[in-house]
This record gives sequence, C-alpha cells and structure tokens, in this order.
Amino acid sequence: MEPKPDITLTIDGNEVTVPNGTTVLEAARGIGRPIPTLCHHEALTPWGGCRLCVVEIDGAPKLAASCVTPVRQGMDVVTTNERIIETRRTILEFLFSERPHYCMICAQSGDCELQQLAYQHQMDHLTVPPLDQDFKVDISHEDLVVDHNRCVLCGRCVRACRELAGQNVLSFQNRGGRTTIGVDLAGGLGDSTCVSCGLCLQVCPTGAIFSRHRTHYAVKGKPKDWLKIESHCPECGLLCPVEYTVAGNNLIKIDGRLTGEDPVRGQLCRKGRFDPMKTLGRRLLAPHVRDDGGWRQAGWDEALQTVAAGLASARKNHGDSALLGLISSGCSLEELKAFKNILTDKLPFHLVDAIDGRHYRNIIAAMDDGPHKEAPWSALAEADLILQVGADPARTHPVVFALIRRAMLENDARLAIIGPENALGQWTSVHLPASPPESAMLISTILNEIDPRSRSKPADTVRERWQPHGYGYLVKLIKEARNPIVITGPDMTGLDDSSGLRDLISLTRIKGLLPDQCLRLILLKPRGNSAGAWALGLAAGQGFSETNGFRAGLLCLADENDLGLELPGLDFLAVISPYWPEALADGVQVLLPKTRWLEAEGTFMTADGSGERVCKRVLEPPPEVKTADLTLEVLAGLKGSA
Amino acid sequence: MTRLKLEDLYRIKGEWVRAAVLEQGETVARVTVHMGTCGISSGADKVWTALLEEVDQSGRRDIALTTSGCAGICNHEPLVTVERLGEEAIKYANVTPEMARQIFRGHLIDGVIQKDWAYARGWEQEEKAFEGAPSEESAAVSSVREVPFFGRQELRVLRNRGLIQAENIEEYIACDGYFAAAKALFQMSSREVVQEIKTSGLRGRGGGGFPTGLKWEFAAASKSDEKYVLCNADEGDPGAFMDRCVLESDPHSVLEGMIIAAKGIGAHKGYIYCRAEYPLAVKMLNLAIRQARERGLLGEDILGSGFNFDIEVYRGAGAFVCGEETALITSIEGKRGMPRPRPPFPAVQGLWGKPTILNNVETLASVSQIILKGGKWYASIGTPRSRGTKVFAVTGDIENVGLVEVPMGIALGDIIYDIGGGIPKGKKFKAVQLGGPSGGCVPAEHLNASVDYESITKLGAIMGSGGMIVMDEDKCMVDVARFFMEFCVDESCGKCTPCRVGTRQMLQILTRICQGQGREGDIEKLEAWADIIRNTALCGLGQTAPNPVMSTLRYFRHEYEAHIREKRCPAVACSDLFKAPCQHACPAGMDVPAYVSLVRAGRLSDAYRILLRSNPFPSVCGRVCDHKCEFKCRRGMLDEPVNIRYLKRFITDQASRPALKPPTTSRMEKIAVVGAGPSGLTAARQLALRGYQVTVFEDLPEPGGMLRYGIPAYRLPREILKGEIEAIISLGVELRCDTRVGRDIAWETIKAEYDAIYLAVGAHQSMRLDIEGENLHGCIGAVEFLRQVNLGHQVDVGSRVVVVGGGNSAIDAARSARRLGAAEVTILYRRLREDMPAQEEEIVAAEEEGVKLVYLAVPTRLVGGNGRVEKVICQRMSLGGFDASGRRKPLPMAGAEFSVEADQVIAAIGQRPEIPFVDATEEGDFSLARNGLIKLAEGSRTRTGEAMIFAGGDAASGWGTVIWAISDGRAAAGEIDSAIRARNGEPAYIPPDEDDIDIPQVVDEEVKEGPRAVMPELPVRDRLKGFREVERGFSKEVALAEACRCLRCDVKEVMT
Repeated sequence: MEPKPDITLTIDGNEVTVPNGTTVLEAARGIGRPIPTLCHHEALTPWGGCRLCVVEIDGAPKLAASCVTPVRQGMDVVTTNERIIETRRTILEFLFSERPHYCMICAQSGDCELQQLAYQHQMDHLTVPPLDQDFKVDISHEDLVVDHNRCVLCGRCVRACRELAGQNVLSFQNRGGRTTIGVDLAGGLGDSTCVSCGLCLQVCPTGAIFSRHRTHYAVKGKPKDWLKIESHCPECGLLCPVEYTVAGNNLIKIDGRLTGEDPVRGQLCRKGRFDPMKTLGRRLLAPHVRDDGGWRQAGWDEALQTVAAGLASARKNHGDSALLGLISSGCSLEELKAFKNILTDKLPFHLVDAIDGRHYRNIIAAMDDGPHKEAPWSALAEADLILQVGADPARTHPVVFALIRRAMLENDARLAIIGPENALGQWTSVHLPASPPESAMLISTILNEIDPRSRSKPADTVRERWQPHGYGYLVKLIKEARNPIVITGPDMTGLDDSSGLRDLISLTRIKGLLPDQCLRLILLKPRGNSAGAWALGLAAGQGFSETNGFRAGLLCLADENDLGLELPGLDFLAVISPYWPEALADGVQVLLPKTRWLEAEGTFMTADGSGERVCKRVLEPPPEVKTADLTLEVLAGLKGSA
Repeated sequence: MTRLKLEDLYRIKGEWVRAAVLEQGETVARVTVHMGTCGISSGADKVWTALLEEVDQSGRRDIALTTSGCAGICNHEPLVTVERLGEEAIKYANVTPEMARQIFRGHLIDGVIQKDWAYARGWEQEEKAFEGAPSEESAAVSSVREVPFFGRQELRVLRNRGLIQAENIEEYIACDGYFAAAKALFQMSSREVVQEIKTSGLRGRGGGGFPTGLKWEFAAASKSDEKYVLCNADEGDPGAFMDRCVLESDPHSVLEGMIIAAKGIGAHKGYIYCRAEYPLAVKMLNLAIRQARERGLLGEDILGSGFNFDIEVYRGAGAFVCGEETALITSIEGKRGMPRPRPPFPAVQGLWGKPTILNNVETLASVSQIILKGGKWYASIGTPRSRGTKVFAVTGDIENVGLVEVPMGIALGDIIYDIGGGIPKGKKFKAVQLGGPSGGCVPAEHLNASVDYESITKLGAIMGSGGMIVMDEDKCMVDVARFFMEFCVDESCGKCTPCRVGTRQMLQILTRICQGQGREGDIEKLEAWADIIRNTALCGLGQTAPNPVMSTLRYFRHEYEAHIREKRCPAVACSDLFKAPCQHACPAGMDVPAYVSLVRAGRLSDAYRILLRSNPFPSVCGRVCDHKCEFKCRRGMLDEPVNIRYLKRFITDQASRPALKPPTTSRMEKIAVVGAGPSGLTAARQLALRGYQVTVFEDLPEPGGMLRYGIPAYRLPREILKGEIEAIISLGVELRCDTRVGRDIAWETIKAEYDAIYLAVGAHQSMRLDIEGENLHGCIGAVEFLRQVNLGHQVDVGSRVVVVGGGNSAIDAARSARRLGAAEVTILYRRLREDMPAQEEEIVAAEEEGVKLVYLAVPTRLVGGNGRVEKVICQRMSLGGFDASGRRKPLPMAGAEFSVEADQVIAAIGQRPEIPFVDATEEGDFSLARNGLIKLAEGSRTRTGEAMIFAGGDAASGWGTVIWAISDGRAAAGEIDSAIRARNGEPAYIPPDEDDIDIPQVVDEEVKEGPRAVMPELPVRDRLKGFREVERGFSKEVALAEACRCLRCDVKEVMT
C-alpha cells in the first residue's frame, strides 16, 4: 500500500489535517466535536444506517452520514446547527416511535445509548406518534434475552457476530418496518448455532439484547455509582482484556475491551462474560472441620491447627515422603508461587505438583530436542490451513474458535479436524473423527507419508480406516499449505504416550518455523494459568501417581470440582477452595475457604507463555475468606506443622 | 454452431434481407403475431394457435407464420400483422382467434382486407416503408404514420419493435445487429467508444439521468485487473414496462450494448440483473446469450477480434431496492440486497470491489445505434441537455395504453392527448404521475411542459425510468400519495431510519387523512418529515420516497385540506369518508342511496322526506341539477350511471310534498337575506327552522333568482318552482320583493336593523364581449336576454341569432330564441364540443331543436347597418398548447376569418354580480375580489371580512350551479347561527331528532341489469311552439327499473 496523503478540511471553522481515508466522524471527534451515533461502533465496520450522525457538507441540502463519509480535500463540514439538531431529534423520535421503547420498564434503563441520546437531545416527549407494533421476546437462550421490541435495527449485533465472532448466527430478516434480527434461518437463539460469546449483548446500544444475569436494575443502582475496572480474564489463558462493572459489591456485567490493540480485540467469550456471573457451586464461606462423620464450621485457628496436626501426624507416622501438595493451575501466579515455596521450603512436603502436571510432562517429553516457543494465537489470522487435533476450542477456548472462524471468513483459511465432533464441524474441509489414541496413530501415519525419513511409525490400517473420511485430501491439504497452524489440546497432551504429540510437533516443523522461532503450534492448555504453573516448575518433577506412600495432602483449588485425576488414598486431606469440593466428599478432613479470582488481585501467564497480565481485584471477598497465600503463610507459621 | 467472423455478419444480413422479401414461388404472404407478455395475456397465444391450424389446414407452404414482440399499443392487443406479396402490410387490432381465422381466409388467402378490424397499414420503421401507392382497398385503412399513436413516435430503442423475432439472432443481425459491436471492437479504441457516447449526450435512462459517457469514463480510468458491466433489468416501478418489452422482443440489443460498454471500459464479464417476475424476459435473455455465445458473439475472442466478454443473467428476487445500484451489486454478490453508502462509487469499487458500470436496459439498448450512426446523429434530436429519445410506459386513465418512444422535449400534453388519445369516458385529466414511486404528479396546468430531465424535475417529478400513469378526475391525490407511500414502506429495505420509520410515519398520517381522521398540523408534519427523509435517507429509494407527497401537496394542497377540514374527498375516492360516492359528490350531501332505495321499495313519501332533509328544492334539482352524483356513480364504471336526477324528479312528481311543521320563532335575532334565489331562500328556510326571524329582500318582482329569471320555463316550469318557494315562505319567512337594497332600502338600514346579513345576490350581469360593434342594436347579454324573456316582456328576437359562448346560459339563450321565433340560431364556441361547459343533454337538445354549433370560432367584430347588427366577423381558431385547466388553448388561425349573418348577438361568455354597496377596491376586509366576487374569509365557507355579514351563491363562490347555491345557503345558515350563539356565549345548536325513516339495508333482490332509463321528451315540433316543459317525467315502471340498477354501494354489510 502506498502511503496515504493527508487531507485538509474544515470542521466547524477549524482547519484539520487527517490521513486520507479518515471518515468525517473520526476527524470531527478527533478535534473534540461531538457527533451522536447509534449504529456506529469503533470495533465494527461502518454501517451508515441510523443517520443520527448527519452533518452538513459544503452547505448542501442533503445531509451526509459522517460515519461513512470519507474526508475530501477542502471539504467544509458543519457538525451542528439548528437544522442538523432538528433533523437528528426527528430521527431519534422516529426510532423511539418505531417500537415500544419505554425506558421505565426496560431492563437496560440507565445503561442504554438510545436513552442517553434522548437525554442529550432533550427529548422529553414524543411528537411522532408511536407505530403500534408487537414483536416476540426470545427467552430461549441461557444467557441472553432478545427483545425485538427494543431493537433499533442498528445492525451492530449482526456485524459483531460476523466480523468479531466469526459467526453468522444473526442477520436481518424481512424488510422495511418488519425487519427483525433473525437467528440462523429462524427460531430462537437458544436453539441456534450461537456460541454464547455475548458480543451482540455488548454492542447492543439498547435493551434489545440483555443479559439474563443480574438484569434487574434495582441491583444496578445509578450508573454514576458504578465502578468500572479494567482488567483481564484469567479463565482460559488468553487473558482477554475486559472491563468489569461493579455496583456495591455486585458484579453487573463483564465487557470485552473492544478497542484495544490486542489481536483478540477483547471480544470475550461465554466463559469470560457469563461464567463469572454464575454461581459455580456452593460457596465455602468459613473454615470447616470434619467431626464425627459430619462437617462443623470452625474458626480459622482451629481449622489451621487441625491441618497442621493432620500433616504433622502423617509425617510422624510415615516419614518424609508422606506429604503431597497439589494445586490447580487456575490459581494466580502469586498463589502458585506461595504454594510451591511454602510447601517445599517451609513445610516438609515431599511432592508439590500442579493438577495438570502430566500434560506438561508429556509436552516436554515430546519436545525431545528441548522446549520451543509456541505460536501466538494472532498467527491464526494469517494461516491458510488450520489443523485441529484433539482439541475443542469452542468449548475450552471459545475466542480461539472465533479466531479460526475469522481466519476462514476473512482469509479463506481451510480447517481440518482430527478428533471428536465439535462446533466447528460444519465448516471443516475434512474431518476425521478419531479418538485420542487413534489421532496419535493418524498423525504418525500422516507424518510418515509426508516425510518418510521421519522416525514416526506408520500403520497401514490407519490409512485404510480413514481413507473414506478424506484422509488423502487431508494429506493433500497439509502438503499444499503454505502457512499452516496446528492447534492441539488436552486430548493429545493428556495421553499416556507422548509419541503422537512428538510426531505432531515434527509435522508442524515440516513447513518451517514462524517468525521469532515459534513452532506452528498452538497448545490449548487445561487451565487458565497452566503456562504459569508450568513455568514456575510446579510440574517439573515426577507426578505423584508414580510414587507411593502419600498419607496426607494439601489441595489448593481455583474453582474446579472435577479434578480430572484420581487422588491416592490419604489418611488426611485438607482443601483450600472457594467452593465446597463436592466431588471429593468424604476424603476431606478440613476445608479452608479461599477467594475467587475476582476477589483478589493476581498475575496470570498467557497460554503461549509470552507474557503476564494482572487480573485486578473486582469484588470484596466475603468476611471470613482469605487468599490462599495468606492462609499458607499462617499455616507455615504454626507450631507443629513443620 | 460455427463461430462468426466479421464478414459473416454481412453475409447473414444479405441472406436474411433476401429471405424477408416476399417472393413469388417462395413465400407470398406472411402473418406476424405480436407475442410479448402483454400480447399473450390478451390472448395472442390463442390467436397463434388458431392461425397455426389455419396454415396447416390450408396446406399452403408459401404462407409464413411468425411471431414478434410487443407492438407498443397494449390496449389493442392481440395484434396481428399481415403482409402479402406486393401489398402494404396491414395491422389488425384486438384480434380474437375467430377473427384470426377470418383474417387468414379473407385477407391472406383471398386478399380481401378485413376493413372493420384493420387498425393501420404499413410498418413503423421507415426502412420498411412500402414503395408505391397503396391499393384502393388498403387506402381506406389509415397509414401507420397517420395514426397519432404511431405517427408521433420516434423509434430508436424500440427500432425493431414488431419487426423481428426475438428468438432469432439472424433477424437481429439482419437489422444491423452486432454491426455496432463489430465497429467498436475492430475500428475503435476504448477511448473512442467512450467519447462517442459522451458526444451523444446519452443520459442514464434508469431514472438518475447521469451522463452515460461520463460514467464509462470514470470506470475506464479506474485501474483494476477485473471490471464489470452490469445491466439493471430489475424494472419494478408500478406502471413501468419499457424494459420488459425490450428484453422480450429485442434482447440482443441489450447484449450488444453491453459488449460495447465492455470494450469502452475494458471489462470481460457482465451480468444482467433481471427480475424473476419477468419469466419471458429471462428466457429470451438466456436464449439470446446462448445464441450469441454459440456464434462467437460472446465469450472468448468475439468475432475474432481478440476481445473477451461474457454475460450471465442474475435473477432478482423481487426487492424493489435492488434497482438501486449498490443494493443490486450486493445482491449479485449473493448477500442481502441492501444499499451501501457512496463513495466509493461503483465505477471505482463496485461488484466484488472492482470497477463496475451499471446501466439500465434502455440505456444499453440505445448504445449500438450511437456507435453505428455516431453520437452527433443521436444528439441531433432532443433538448440541449436531454438528447435523443425516451421510452414511456403510458398507462392509467388513458385511451391508448402502451409504450411510446418520443423525442426528448415533446410536450407532456402531446404524449397524453395526441399519442395517448386522451382520457376515456369523457372524464377530465387531473394529473400524470411521472417516475413511479420516486416521482411526482404533474397537474393539468403543466401539460405544456417539455419532457426532459430538467423541466420535469423543476415540476417536482422526475423522468424516472419512464412510467407515466395518467389520472383522471376520479383519482384522489391524497390517496395516490398514500398508495405510493405504501409502496415505499413495503419496499424499504429497513437499513436507514428515515426511510424505514419516516415513510411509515408519513403513511400513517396519509392513511389517517384518507380515513377522515386528519388533523390540523398534519400537512406541516408531512412537509417537515418529507424534508428530513429526503435529505437524510441512505439511498435513492428513501431520498425520493416523499416525492409523491411533496408533489401532490404542491399542486393539490386543497385536496389535503378538504380531507382534513371538511372530511371531504373532492375526487370522491376515499371511501372511508362517505357512505356512497353519489352522496359525497353532491354539494348538498343529498342521501341518494336512501331515496333511490325508497323508490325501489315504493315508499315515495318517505323518499320525499329524505329529499327535503338536505334540499328545499328537490323538484327543481330533479330537473336542472348538473348531477355531480351521476359522474361518481359506481354503476357508471360498469356501464352507465343510474339516472339519479330524474329519479329525484320522479319522487317529487309522484308523491305529494310532505308539509313541514312551521317552527315557532324561538329567537330574538333578526336575519336579513339579500336575494331570493336558491341560496338565499335555502338560508332563510334553515334559519327559520332554527327559530330565527328572517326577512328576504328581492329586487325582482318574484322570488327564485336565476331559477326564475335565468332558466327558461321549458326546463323548469314556473308552478313547480313556485310550489317549492311557497313551502319555504310558509315557515314564516318574510319576503319583500321589488325591494332593491340601496334603492328601496338603505344598506345601512339593514345593517343597523338586523343581527346578521346573508348576501346571496347572484350574478345577474353578463360579461361583455369587448369587441367593436358591441353597442349596436341587437346585441345583448345572455342574462339580460333571459331575464327579459322570463319577466314576460316583449322580447326583441331577431330571425338570425348568434350566441357566443359554450355554457348552459348560451344553450338556454339559443333554445329560447328558437322558441321565440328565431329562424336560425348559431352558437359560436372557441374550442371543441368536448370542452363545452354546458351539460351534454342540453347541447343535444339544442341540436335537435335546430341550433347550429360552430366550434373553434371567436367573434372579432360586429358589423351593422342602420345602427343594428348585421354580421358577425369571426376568427377561425385552432388548438395549440394547453392552458391552466388542461384544455388546449384556442389560437387564431392566421387569415382564417369568416362571417355569420346575424341580426341579434347574445353574449354568453360569463356573468358577474353587481353589488354597489360592497367595497370594490379589492383591498378592504369586506370587498370584492379581483374576479368581481365577494371576498370570503380564509378557511370559511360564507364568512366575509366583516363580522355578521355572510355571503354565498354565485355572488361569492361563483360556482354557478343550483346545488352549490343551495349548499352555500345551508352552510351560511349554520355559520350565522354559530356566530350568533358564539357572540351570546350560548352552546352550539343541536339539531332536533329527525323522524326516523327506515332505509332498506338488505339488498334483497339482485341488482337489475338494464340500460340507463331515458327521459321521455316532447317531440321537437311541439317544443318550438312555446315554453312547455320538454321532459315528461318517468313512469312508475321506468323509475322502478332504474332504481333497481343502483348497486347500493352504501350497504357495507349485507344482513341475512
């Protein structure tokens, strides 16, 4: 692209110079001239539908929508005069008249751009008669409600769904005044291909799409009392930039920060936007100890004393190798560090491991020539072939799923899947529905076919078995790809044997490395801070399952219930957790409450290991609840525990 | 199929031209059936089948049967053209299969022209003109050039109309088809192609009027690996079908235009976006493309020139907005067809982001002729800024519905009246809607307007794609605006707010107005919103959507006001506003369906009571009313209207007049009515019924005004009038005849003594001819003449009388003169008979009585001898352009003078009131207006500038009909009463309950079919003997049958 020359124009009498291609709206806002907009959104392509941003250009009678009008040399723009204001007010009234926009009974009141515009234009009553229309309210979705009666047809949700989420769930249906936002070909959002990323909710300027979580505005209070906290989401390791809105100590909503430079553009997913709003389990609000076969609430002193006593007793009776420490990789780096340091340095734990440690050990084994950097997920945007093996990003890393879809839509990237059916299935060029062990064999066979000199062990039966599913085509796609990216995940890293993973890595290396010496590989990790936990060396040693003799343990959880592994039979187990660890049930003797990640500031490492982000404290923890590192410090200091 | 080279074109042309000539021993006769969609829908396919059978049965192999596309004149489809060796071609119109068989046997086989069905002879295309004189037989059929519908057209786009078979590419080639493409490909550079189009001045015929050459130049200048040529064949305007005709009957002309365009801009791929509702067009296009591809006229290496270009047809799914270029492009890309903002313009970034030109069918069909004959040739006709020709689809209330191609700059009225043949059923032209839903309505006063882009835009309409919907007086302009707005609401894509919501808001108001729910302020709201929508909508659809409202408001604001303020639809179209059209059309609102149904039920005295509710002069109106009701009668849409006027008379003839109970004088106020005509007496009666003391002052010896002193007794017998007036007097109204205000009683006295005054003095002074010799003895005004006759004075009637004028008083004067012994009576009228304001039946009666009518004549001088008039020197007139009323203006024909011998000249060219006591300065509150009538207050029916002085009838409204005078009288009574009550602070008048008359609501018997009843009349020889009433009245049987013709459109729901 040749550099664009600058353009000089006049806006309300001020001479402005901006790059060619700038819109009048951008130029005007750049010098602080306010122009109202509704269908416009910085993160989306310009639309020019609502016509609220009209301005006068060169005194022409026809007003131009500034959001879609590029600047021109010598242009004379007037952003505000009586006629423009009157026009905007009438258009605004048209919008209010079109459907029943009754702010006082709207869930979104107070957090609505349409309402805000009405205040700005001092629209205290309607001079345009309402058009009686009645539309359905779609309550079929778990997280969202679509109330077409509040829709202004700005199309932001439609554009967000396609341009950011890489989805085409939403579109316009019918035309003229009967236009509605349609879902797939028809039907409710709950029965659609929607992946619940909630982008539509975030960009909706009115109450047409609103969250089912904490909707009632009684809990929201007034916007002026709201606290906005910019932070990152630690749920999956992508650490998307987010903004939390808090009123009192209530989390009202979570938005992605759509206007940053981050390649993901803070689009956020179901896990980041809705999961933290949900009740994930029974909250543990005070320490508990087991007493005569039942739970009893106890003071912190008593509980910690019981833990210290339990650990000491096990060590006394069974020696130094009796104590096992396990921590979830969902915890912050601060918690992980404290756990590792305190348990190994101050307390006589024989083994401290991350719950997902075996994935790390497999990966290390597969990279037998030493650790390599993984591809940043921004590399997806450039890929021409995305090979997904043993991963389900739609479930575990929905933003990656969106990036894949966008690569397909914007870049014509091909998608090949090896592994079970998942949400991307309908768009794949080839899909081999292999189980994880079968996937490993497949990869080895493919590698051998493409690079016969490799060490991989082909199996002829594999080729025959998968030929009808498009095996040959897959090999062709891989051979022809110029810039492929492989995505794999827990299904592969969790196998007992790392040879499949090793062959997969070899396969990615056939097309060379990405800049910065990165592998063409994106590893989806089990938990949000897996990369952090592994980097701290928490999983460096052997896993506990190979060592016998553990009689007591300390378990620190983030928010999981299912650990994904079997604990050895222990005489004593203390658990530090924000929730009741229901699945562990009878094996636990002491329960110590802990903050959720929303309740304590913590640092997390990005999944590709490239950096760290701080996740701020958003909510006050309940009175009896402490951070895990604090609890561990106290425990370490107790007499008898060491 | 072999791929053609350049030289093959010449070969094919030569072969086909030879084949097209009828030749002894080969083909001696040919019959062509015109089978466009219009033809097929009128039955051309059945005609075709019949002819096919005839050809088979005849066993004649030297008779060819062929098809062609639309012949242009849709309302005469099916059309068939017959050619015989050595004879001129004959076109037959309105052909049925049976006629086709007879034409085949009679004309094709036996050579006898079926004259009754022959429509015209010859071809429209000059190159096919018949050489040699027409045979004696065919000379009886008018030549195509003489039929105004064809004769005034100039075929360029439609040059192959009716001539070639669309399915046959060779026929197209033979008519110079693809020669222009060959010229562009072999002899011209891209720059030259574009330059030629620029020279031609061709502008986009799709509606925008953007210079085509300029558009091509932009696209040619855009650098890109790919470019596209698009053809917009998504014709969707209501009433537009130009493109369909071209696509169906001459598809190759569009393909050729696209090839040339492709050469001009350097494109190699084209799409034709054709609406799927045109299946025949899609079929023809696909066929044409296939044929062109097979012959190497499309695809790789066209004609061996090395140039590649191919075309695909993309079918549109019926969204009007997809006619907008960016929406059309989006639709071809496979997305929802919604417009996007410009810039970037398609010439820079169009289809798939590549430079693209989009032209409509007509534009592209014009291109090949421009390349072939040169831009200068094309630019040689038209106006400086609108060159060439334009095709219009003329439809609506017009005789000749069809497609016309005319040179730019032709007068609008010429298209409607000359080519279109004017308005059917004797209705008046009201407006023509140009440019479809984006266009506007142009009223009669602009019929002289030149048809070109700028002039039409100036009138508030647009040229558009060429839809021309003609509307007669029965079309309500509010309803028309509502219709078009509804179309836009339906077709708005919904993307931008002004178009999506604004149009619906406007529609809501328009609908409300049409339903009688309009409010003050609605018009202003419409205007404000129209302005906003026009200036802020995203695409052309929204920006132009308010045009129909704006243009109707510009020219027909009074109709909106009538709907809103009076809840009246002047065109009697908005059915929510009335019970039945006849009643709504009546100025006095007479309940026509009620009394007609009572006639049918035989309840004549009930019917009489109904009549008297709204009209104190039913037996007068039953004779002389101009019966506006009958013009709007729904029965008239089927055959002829119900004879409402004479049914009214029948009631008053047969039943005895029900007596009204004299009211008690319940009020203190005294009202003066000046003038005992129908208006004054009606007001007096209504005021008396409301309890006022009323005095009527009348200058003449007897009451009745013009009813008594204007209308002759043979139309309105004196005793009938007397009866009705007596009934009014008997209510306690004081009548003072022979009392002229200002002479017998001072104006100031009346003003002082009465609480309110109603001035209904009429217009009793004839307008003067203002020509030399008017002061000669024997010259008189019609009003004065008739007054003398009706006063019973000895009237000086000449033996040769000339009456000047075309209104009812001209006829009255003429017929009276005949009765008074004039041997020769001549009426001179400056226009034509159809323009005469007089009632048709009066004109007929005058003719029966021997009155001679001379049209297109104006007296310029009266020549006399011995002080008496002897001769009228007349100027012969011819009709020129249109005047403000939409009638053609009479213009003097140079040197065409003639004279008429006359010893009496009666001027009947209008009349005016004579009111010395009203300020004549035109300036004061209570004064005369410029036209000599009393000035009325704004927004009021009878108020004047001075409080408590009211005016109506001919003196104020100048309406000149009895029923209007009566209506004014009623309105005046209401306004006087309201004014007095308002002054006194009294509550509004509540009319007493009317006695309940049960109107039959059940249409128990079917409507009877039958012709309109004719009034029995006195034989002419008896008429001239005196002033006996001419019309004899209906018998019971006739009246009953006539009443049974009523469709009872007032009955909204039939109860069973």
